[in-house]
Amino acid sequence: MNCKEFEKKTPDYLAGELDPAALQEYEAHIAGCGVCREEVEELKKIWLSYSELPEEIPSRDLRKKFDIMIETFNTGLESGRNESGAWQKLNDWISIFWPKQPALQFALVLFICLASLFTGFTANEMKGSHVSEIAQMRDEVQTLNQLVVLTLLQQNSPSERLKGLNRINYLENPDEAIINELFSMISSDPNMNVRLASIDILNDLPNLDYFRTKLLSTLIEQSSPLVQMGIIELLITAREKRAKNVFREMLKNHNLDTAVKERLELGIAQLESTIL
Amino acid sequence: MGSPDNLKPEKVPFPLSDKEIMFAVRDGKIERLSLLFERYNVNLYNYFLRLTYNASLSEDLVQEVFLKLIKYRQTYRGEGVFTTWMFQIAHNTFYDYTRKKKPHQSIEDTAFEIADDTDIGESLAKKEDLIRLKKAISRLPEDYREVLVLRIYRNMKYKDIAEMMNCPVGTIKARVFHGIRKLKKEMS
Repeated sequence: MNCKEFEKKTPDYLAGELDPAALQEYEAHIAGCGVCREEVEELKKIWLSYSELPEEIPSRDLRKKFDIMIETFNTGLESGRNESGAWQKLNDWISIFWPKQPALQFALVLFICLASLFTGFTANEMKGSHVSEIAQMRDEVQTLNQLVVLTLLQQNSPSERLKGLNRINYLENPDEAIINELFSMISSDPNMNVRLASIDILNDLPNLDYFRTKLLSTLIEQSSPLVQMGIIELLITAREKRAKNVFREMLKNHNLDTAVKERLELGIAQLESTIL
Repeated sequence: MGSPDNLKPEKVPFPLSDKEIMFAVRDGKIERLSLLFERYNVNLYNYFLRLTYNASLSEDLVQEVFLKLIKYRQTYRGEGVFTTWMFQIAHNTFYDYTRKKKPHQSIEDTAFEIADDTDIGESLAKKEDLIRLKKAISRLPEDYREVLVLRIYRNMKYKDIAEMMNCPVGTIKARVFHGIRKLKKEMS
C-alpha cells in the first residue's frame, strides 16, 4: 500500500469498516510510514473528540408543538371526512364527466382547445357584443383563484399554507373568507413562519384601513412576542393613532417581553410625533 | 391454587419496529407517530443542531420532518432501513431551509457552549477543547458537516449515507476524510 491508497482507506479505518485483510495491509503501512502514522493518530483523536460531543436535549416546546400538530391533523382529517368542501365537490362533479382512458382524455382536451380557438375567432368578429361575457369569465376566474387560495391556506402543511399566502398577492380583492383565514393564521397558526408571513401579507394588501380594527383586537389577544412585534410594526407603519391606547394598555402587563415593551414605548412616541 | 389477580404479571406488548409503526401511520393511525417521535426526536434535533447551531431552528426543522412523515406517509414502502428514509427527509428539509435562508447568518457564541452538568469526564481543558471543536465544525462547508454528523454521530454506514445523499460512496468518504483533516488543521 502506498500513501495515496492509505489516504483512500483512512475513512474506512477510522469508521472500523476495513475487512481483516485490508486492515492488516493498512496497519503494515502505518508501521512503516512515520508521516502516515502521525497523520492517522491525529485524525483518530479528532474522530474520538467528535464522537464525545455531548448530545443535546430539545426543549419541552418541541413535544408540545408535535402534539398540537397531531391533534390538528386528526381534527382536519375528521372534518374532511364529514364534509367534502367546495373544492372536493368540484372534483367529484368533474370526475363524473371526465373520461378514464388517456386517449379519450387527450381527445377531450384537443376538442376543448379547438373549440376555444373557434370561439376566439368568432368572438373577435363580434367583439362589442361579447365584452360583458368576457368580464363575466374574468369574474369566474377570479372566484376560482380565491377558492384555490383558500384551499391552500387550510392545508395541514405549513409550506402549502405559505404558498397560499404568496398567491394572495395575485388576487385583485381577497374575499372575506380569505381575510378571516388570514387573521386566524396570525392569531393561532401552529407554525411561526406562517404567522409572520401572514402579517407581511396584510402589509401588502391595498385596503389596510379595513383591517386596522381587527389588527388592534388581534394584538390585544396575542401572547407571542414575535407576532406582537410584527403587528406593532404594521400599525406604526400605517400610522394608526388608535394603537397608542392599546400600546399603553399592553405596557401595564408586567409579564410583557422586554423587547416588545421597548418597541411599544418607542411606538407611542412615534405615533404622537408629527414626523414618522 | 392460582395466584390472586392483582399479583399476576402484566403482559408487556412486544415493542413495534420502526417499519411496523410507519405502516400503521400510513394506514391512518397517525397517533402512532408519537412512538417514532419519542425514539428519534433527540437524534433529529442533534442532526440539525450540528448543521445549523441554532436550537430553535433545529426544533422547527424536526417538526417539519414529522410533518413530512405524515404528508408522505402514503409513499412509504418499507424498503430498506426506516431511519435512512427518515434522514433522507431530514436531509431534504435541511437543504430546503438552506435555499431560503439569508446569506451570512452568523452563529451566536452561545451555540457553542457545553452545559456544566454534561458528563464529559475530567477537566475544564477538555470542555474547552470540545468548544473549540464545535467552533471548528461550524466553519466547515455544510456538506462536510453533514457527512460527519451522519457517519460519526449517527453511525450510518458510508453506503447508506451515499444512498441518502444520492452521490457515490467515494465522494462521501472523501468528504469525511477532508472534513476531519480540516478539523485537525483548525484545532492544531
